[in-house]
Amino acid sequence: MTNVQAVAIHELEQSIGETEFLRIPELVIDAGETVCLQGGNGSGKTTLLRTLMGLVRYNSGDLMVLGNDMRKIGTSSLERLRADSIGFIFQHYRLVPYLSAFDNILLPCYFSAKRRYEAERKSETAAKDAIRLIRKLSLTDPSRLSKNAAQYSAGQQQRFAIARALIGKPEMVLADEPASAMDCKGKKAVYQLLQDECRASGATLICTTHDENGIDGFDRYVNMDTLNQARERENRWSL
Amino acid sequence: MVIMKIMRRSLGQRAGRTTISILALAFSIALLLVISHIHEAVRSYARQVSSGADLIVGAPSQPAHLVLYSLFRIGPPPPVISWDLYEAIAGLKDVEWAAPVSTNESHLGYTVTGSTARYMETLQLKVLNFIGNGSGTEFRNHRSAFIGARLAGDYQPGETLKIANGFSPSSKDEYQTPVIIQGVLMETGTSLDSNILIPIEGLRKIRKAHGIKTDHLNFILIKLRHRHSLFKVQKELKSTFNTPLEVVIPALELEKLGHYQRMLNNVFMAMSFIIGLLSLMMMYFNLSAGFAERKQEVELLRMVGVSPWQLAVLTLAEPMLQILFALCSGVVLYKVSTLFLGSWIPVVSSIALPFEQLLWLLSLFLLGFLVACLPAWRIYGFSRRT
Ligand SMILES: Nc1ncnc2c1ncn2[C@@H]1O[C@H](COP(=O)(O)OP(=O)(O)OP(=O)(O)O)[C@@H](O)[C@H]1O
Ligand SMILES: [Mg+2]
Repeated sequence: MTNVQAVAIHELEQSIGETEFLRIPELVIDAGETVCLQGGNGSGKTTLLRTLMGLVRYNSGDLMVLGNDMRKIGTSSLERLRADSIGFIFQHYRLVPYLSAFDNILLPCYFSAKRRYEAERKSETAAKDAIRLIRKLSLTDPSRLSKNAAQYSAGQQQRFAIARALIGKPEMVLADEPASAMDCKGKKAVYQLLQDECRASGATLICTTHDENGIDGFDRYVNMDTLNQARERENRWSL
Repeated sequence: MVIMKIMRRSLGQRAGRTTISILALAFSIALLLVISHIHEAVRSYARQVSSGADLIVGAPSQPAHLVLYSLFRIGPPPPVISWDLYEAIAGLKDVEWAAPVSTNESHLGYTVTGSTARYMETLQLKVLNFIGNGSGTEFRNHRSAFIGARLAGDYQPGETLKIANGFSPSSKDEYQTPVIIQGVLMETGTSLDSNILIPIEGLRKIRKAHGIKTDHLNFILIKLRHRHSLFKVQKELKSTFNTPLEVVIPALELEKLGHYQRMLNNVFMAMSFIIGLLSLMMMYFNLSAGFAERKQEVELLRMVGVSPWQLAVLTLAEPMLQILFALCSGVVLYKVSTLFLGSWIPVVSSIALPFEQLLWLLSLFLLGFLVACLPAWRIYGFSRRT
């Protein structure tokens, strides 16, 4: 790890027109740290993760991700950063519906030589690494991964999305509600796997959830409701 | 390459939704081609046939009617004129040859045309399956007959036919002398196919034998020695005889008719072009309807490192492949249908489409290309921003 800080936020502000979604005075996440972002619906968890990915632009403040200044980063370096160094789990997991589950998991390896290389180094072939990951998510029969992704249950699809984010040893894993569609047993396995994999590879893990309890093992817990000081909170649903 | 796999699978997934628009596009392409094919074929056939005769003379009627009946047998026969007129005309010094044609007799409802070998040459009639030798269109003797293709199923060369005066003859109208079938004419696609052609000299003899005194005919084709005397002879023919006559220049009349035919053709072309446009619009709406769902996919693919141009190629390839497929199947459809058309309207077979006719097709294809580019361009822009 060359960067000591995986994420450094200073006075980050993001808004559309008058409506402010994010205002985070200060947040630093060290490389290799596992962080759990907790907060109610609409507290800005997804928005923060998407900002870290460069998927949404912020209005002011400073944001450094893995040593890159996200304000100045060019299109192609952002592309490389995402493909090589970040594993992302969308809140609605998002698989390519007409590709097989297997291809969906391997997708990052097809477009990043680095992640393909890491996956092969870990388990001989990228395919074997995919099977290793999926086994850990208590999906016992990996031979059945050839169906189209859309034909699996929500929980199964989420497992593929997690495996996709973890394959090829990314430097940072951003997981947006990675266990939202899981049963109790699955939830534990998911958080366990995310933490294990990230600790083993030294990757930074940022994981969001609105679960209050049953989540342990993270290095740090951050409450999004207090962290995000966005003025405009009319959309926020108090629980 | 996984991009190819994504392309293939995505195409497969959306195939069901796009089948209709592909079919419609293929159909309109085939229609465009078939219509311009028929147009061209009819035009070139008309040009060939009308170049055979410089003038056509008949009883007073509509010029277009006279031309259409004498060359293509469209419409009812014109009123009769007398045989003397023919002899007078044939004797003029400007006239190279004149072919008298009579269509007043019938056999079981089939028209009997009395004429000369000249007439058959002018109409470019060819004979199949004939008795004797030579080019085949020569009548061997005064009682020979050629039958149209549609009669070939019922009659054989060598058989005899009895003909009668008029089209609803009573038994006393039937001529006693039969004619003998010499050969079968090749199909023309006009009503000549259900005609019986006999030599007019023979017909006159048969009429005389039956006791008909006045010889009459329906029209005369004239070839001049020099084409530059065309208008002079036309005027002359109209004025010298004491019976009023219609004298038309077929090339001119067909040119006028060709104007209407072109208009009609353009209407048909525009219609099939509109079908093509509609199917392209359908294709476009299909593409944009999937756009929201596409955006999600694009975001994901961008996250794993697919570049904007790869995504643009992906979105471009899909409609382009569809349009190409429609184009190919349209052309195949056209080729197959001209095979069938050829046996239905023989003049339609074997012509090459001129380039102007393909312009419609080209513009349809260019529009299709635009339609394909639009979403690809949007996806490109969107993925640049994500
Ligand atoms: N593109 C956008 N346009 C308008 N408003 C947006 C947009 N993105 C986020 N927001 C707003 O930002 C706020 C935070 O949304 P966000 O999705 O980050 O919440 P969240 O913490 O992920 O909630 P949940 O737990 O339900 O997933 C919401 O009020 C939402 O309406
Ligand atoms: Mg969220």
